[in-house]
Amino acid sequence: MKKRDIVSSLFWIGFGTFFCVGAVQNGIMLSPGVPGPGCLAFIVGSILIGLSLFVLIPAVSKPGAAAEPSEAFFPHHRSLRKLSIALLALLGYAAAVEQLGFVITTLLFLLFVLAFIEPQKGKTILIFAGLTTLLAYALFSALKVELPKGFWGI
Amino acid sequence: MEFFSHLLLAFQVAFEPLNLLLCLIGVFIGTLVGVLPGLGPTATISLLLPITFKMGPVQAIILLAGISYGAFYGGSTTSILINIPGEAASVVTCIDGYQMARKGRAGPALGMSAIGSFIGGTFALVMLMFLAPPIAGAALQFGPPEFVALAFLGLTLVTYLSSGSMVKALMMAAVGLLLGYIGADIVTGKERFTLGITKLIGGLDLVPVVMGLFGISEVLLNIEKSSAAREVFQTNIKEVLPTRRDWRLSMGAISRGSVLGFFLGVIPGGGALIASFASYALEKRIAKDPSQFGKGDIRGVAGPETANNAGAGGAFIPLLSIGIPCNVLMAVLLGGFMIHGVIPGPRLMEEHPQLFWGVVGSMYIGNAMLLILNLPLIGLWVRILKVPYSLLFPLIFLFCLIGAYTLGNNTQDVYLMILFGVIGYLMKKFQYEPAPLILALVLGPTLESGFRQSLILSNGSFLIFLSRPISAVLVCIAFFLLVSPIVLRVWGKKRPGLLVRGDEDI
Repeated sequence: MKKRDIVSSLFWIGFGTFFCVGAVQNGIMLSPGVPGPGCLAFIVGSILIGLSLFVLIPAVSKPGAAAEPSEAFFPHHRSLRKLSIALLALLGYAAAVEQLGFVITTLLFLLFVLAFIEPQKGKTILIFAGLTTLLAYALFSALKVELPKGFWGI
Repeated sequence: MEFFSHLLLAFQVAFEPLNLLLCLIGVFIGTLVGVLPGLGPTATISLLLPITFKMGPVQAIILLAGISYGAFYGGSTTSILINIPGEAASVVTCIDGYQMARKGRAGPALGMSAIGSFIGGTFALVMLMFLAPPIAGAALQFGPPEFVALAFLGLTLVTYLSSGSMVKALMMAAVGLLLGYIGADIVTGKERFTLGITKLIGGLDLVPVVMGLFGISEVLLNIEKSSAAREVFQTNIKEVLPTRRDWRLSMGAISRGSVLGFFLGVIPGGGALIASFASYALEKRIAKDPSQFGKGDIRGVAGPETANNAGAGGAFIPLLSIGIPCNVLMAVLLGGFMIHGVIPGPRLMEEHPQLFWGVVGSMYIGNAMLLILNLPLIGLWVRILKVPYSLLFPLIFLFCLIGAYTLGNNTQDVYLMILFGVIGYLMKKFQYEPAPLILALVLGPTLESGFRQSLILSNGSFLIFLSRPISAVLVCIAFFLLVSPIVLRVWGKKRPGLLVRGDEDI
């Protein structure tokens, strides 16, 4: 955990610094006694940096902290592959849904996810993906939710 | 007399056919997400928000509130039958509930859990009806410094009561506040921290952030594990009514759970989770034979299950009467109010009496529906539990994607949700809790406008927060809570055994 504390606290120091710099650029005080748009962001950004140091300093000051063995980041040897496929599917859905429309994108998304993340039998994939797409379309249409239509209007 | 006119209005609104139907749908969905491990009420409310866009505010809030309290009924089912809590507030029910199931007493455990939930939830509602009006009246006297102090105390309590490191929880609260400053400044209109992205000028939307942090990240964490089938305990659960002995043992636990749960639900940072743990600890402490706890003692089910529902009901008081959400679930519900143009707070009862009393009335009816529905439907919930996660997670993904898209009919919200899904996944890996971040994101604008107004009133003097009695008390409590772990840590080094939170946890 010490190694992860070092990485995460450095990230939050950078994050806090970004907001502090931005706050100064936006103006901390509009006039004497009148706080500007950056006032609270500067205070909170500085607090975040200070708190991050509370995590960072004990982590680096302990001898051999960085080399300390910790729990594996991925619990399973296939974890990274599954996560990558899931993210690819989510991003793909977002990229395609306005062009292909709700029905086709949803069907392709479900087929892809069911086939590659936790692979199912071919028949299960087809039936589950098809039925889910149809039911989701019927449900959201009945609820008058505006779904993306794409080139084919569905 | 006024109480009865409020009660009449509450039931008039709640008994309208559409409101009754939405209440039923809400509690059914709530129970379903409570039963299913991996999808909590917070994420569900977020991803169902777009469905409520076409509804009126009364109908929308009845549906969303139904999901929020229905989830606490459902959460106990998985705790008792498969030793996995459906949502966090049912963690403690696993201890004795699962042991009862192993002894062939799953039915009475589920039955007592439903009955206790009903009593706790109803008690909280009665208290809500009595306490919300005077609290709202008192809150009308609040000025900007008091609201700042209250929001500050709320954030401090959330971090103080968080399960992990308090420093990390405070960091997440700071991150949430900073994210809340993204967008146009409320006073000058100047763009802040938008990185030139037009979408961010209006600020960071709460819903995609919640869906990402609580929905997508949870699925990512679950799918990376190896897929092991859930084992549902095979036992006779036809007889759900507790025996006379069960009743005798549980009545005290239910009474104490109702009162304790309610008060722990009302305090900022409290809610159902803390209420259930506190009730279990109390029952164990006062029991004549505490050794029975952990071996299937029905008091270990009745107390916490009552307390978590009383806590869930109590948490509505600060939201409805002051406008301050005391936990992350209420923060998301606040988002639901705002989307429908309603600002909860001291004026809610005056400006939207139909909404306020209608929601209260629907909660009475919803609690009764849950009791009637849950006992006969236990068989259905068990069957749902047998659906493999490999078929459930694509559905959760799909609902999140559609939910995010329909917020503004654009894919920017979808990308934002995916980004926060990855952030949420990494946060859990690095042991940072998302709840303080969400609460701070919601409270950020209130805190900032109040803070700036206060400083303008005082010509830039921070002493304004200490010169007014209510804000001074609230700020002092918050500082005491912030400083106490450090004091305990220093003192604990001198007197080993005193530390309540280990070095790692501070």
